[in-house]
Amino acid sequence: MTLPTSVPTQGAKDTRAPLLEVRNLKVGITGRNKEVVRGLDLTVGHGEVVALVGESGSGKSVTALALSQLLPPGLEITEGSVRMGGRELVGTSEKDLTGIRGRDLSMLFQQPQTMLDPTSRVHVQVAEPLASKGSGRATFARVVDLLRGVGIPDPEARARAFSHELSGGMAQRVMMAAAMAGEPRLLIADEPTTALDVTVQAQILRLLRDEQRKRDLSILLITHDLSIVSAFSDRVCVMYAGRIVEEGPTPQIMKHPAHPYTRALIRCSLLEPEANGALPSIPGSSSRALSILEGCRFAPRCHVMAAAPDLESACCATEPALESKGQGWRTRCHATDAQTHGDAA
Amino acid sequence: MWKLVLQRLSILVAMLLIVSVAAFAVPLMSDGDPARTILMSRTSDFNLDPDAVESLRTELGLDRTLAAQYFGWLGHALRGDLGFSFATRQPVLSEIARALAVSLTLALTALGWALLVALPLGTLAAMRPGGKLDGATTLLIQTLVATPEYWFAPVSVLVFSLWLGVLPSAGWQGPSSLILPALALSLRPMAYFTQITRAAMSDVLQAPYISAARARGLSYNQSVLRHGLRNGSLPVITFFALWFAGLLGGSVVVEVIFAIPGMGRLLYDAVINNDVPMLQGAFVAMVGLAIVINTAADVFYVLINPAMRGRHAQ
Repeated sequence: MTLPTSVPTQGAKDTRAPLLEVRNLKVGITGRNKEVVRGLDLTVGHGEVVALVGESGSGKSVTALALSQLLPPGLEITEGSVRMGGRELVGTSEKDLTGIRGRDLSMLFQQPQTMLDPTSRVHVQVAEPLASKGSGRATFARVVDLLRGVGIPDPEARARAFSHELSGGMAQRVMMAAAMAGEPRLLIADEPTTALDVTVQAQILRLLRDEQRKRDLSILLITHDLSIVSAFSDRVCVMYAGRIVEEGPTPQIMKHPAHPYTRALIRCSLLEPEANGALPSIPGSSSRALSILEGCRFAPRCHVMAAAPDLESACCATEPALESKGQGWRTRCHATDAQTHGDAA
Repeated sequence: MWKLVLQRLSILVAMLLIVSVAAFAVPLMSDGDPARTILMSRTSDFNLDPDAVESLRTELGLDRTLAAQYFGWLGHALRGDLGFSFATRQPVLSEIARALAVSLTLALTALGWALLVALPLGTLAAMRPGGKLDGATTLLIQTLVATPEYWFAPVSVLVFSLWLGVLPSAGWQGPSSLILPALALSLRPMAYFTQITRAAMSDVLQAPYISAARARGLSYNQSVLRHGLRNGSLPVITFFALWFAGLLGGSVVVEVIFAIPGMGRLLYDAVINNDVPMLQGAFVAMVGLAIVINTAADVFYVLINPAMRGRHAQ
């Protein structure tokens, strides 16, 4: 597919404090001593696009819901802080949060059609985040403008449509219009293109990029698709079993991944068959990684540790810290560069 | 939308025709000769004059073929002529219309009241599963289901009519005489409506569009009101229609206890008196109305949930 070209918007260093600052965020299952997100640190600067990457079950989507304080019953934030423009969101009352969601912080989701109330017309839902509720006609005109702004043809007719009358791509554009209605500063987009056709994916990504540039929007893009990451994000955070294992500027990490998990992910995403004709895959599964409490959670699946037996005692005993490699690049691994790059990848 | 309504209407007409055949067959199913039955009900004498029977058979057209009899009967029925009651000698249609008006009023009052309690209660219970209100609601549902009308009706008369003296104990004069019977009739539908609302709403509240609405800045309560209730009320409509159709046949127990001249009472008397034209007419009216109500519910359902439009029309 044709993806929008890379957007290195971080040429001039933004000296302002980050827009979104997540510190040591922990999300647990209520009533059980099990953490789904284990001490997540994350920052998103003004106008910055940060990609949060990981496979299914790594805690990406839970993180998205935790940031907007919309965790479903059964999951709760047990520790940590989420600051949005200097304002703490964890523990903020539902009443105050309604003034933040849809205004400062908007969201896009997977499966856009199921995100629209089937019994309510598009314009009603798009109008909900609008700050000033003017007359019905003025609001409708504003909604039509928003729909036109996200490239919806015949916006007057679509405004009166119901969700079942929209295609997936059209529904995601509607969700985008609703997300932009409140003039947000941060957009959290959770797999916004996963359920869409490849050609529609590219259109939606282009739309995201256009809106990002037009509004100097900060975006936290949650995805498992590395081609989207490299084309679209300034910075990437790789998540495994509720932890960030590597983060840094996208071009560097995509070119020289430091963490064995990132390396494996990138190799799998290239879809280049190995010598025996099979597509590369990461052995084992991440489903049990959450119950690993000691050592590195990736250790059982790690090819670097498997190749260097002297690492095993360290990897299985203590979890490595997130260590800086300079230039905002940090990784969580005991192996040295030589050990990591020594394998014939 | 109109395509759907037309489609439903044509099904409705077809079903009414089937019902008419069944209604026509009612006296055939009862043992014996209608002419003899009529004469017996008039004379209370088992020794009938054969000539009288024969002349009545000719008069009633019973000497014609079954098909001719059916179309003759259908022609009259379509013009609103359902014959005369054996017992009261009054036109069946006007008797049924009067009784149906009573039962309609009673059923709508009872079900409206049940819905008025059930929708908010079921929704609030679903919003805090396992909470105090949820527990109390479950208890209330079980109590209501287990309260028989034949117990509640006399007890309510005892309390409100005899002890407090605020409401009439029986009869059908004015709105005050509607309260106790409607209350007695409303208990079980109220329990079921609450249960269905609670179940439907707990599903709806987990739907992605509720989270999405909250992500747009609506509070939880606003999301439930604006995007949850309509979706959650869909199954309730179906059950409302079922109960409505059921109650139109009248509740014999409640109507007899409160001496209300509704359909239940009418059917009870018609059966006792072997009043064939009345039974036929009541049968057509009740089944016909049940079909009309279910059709209306179908159309209403699609009106609320537009996503069903495409699926139904196929």
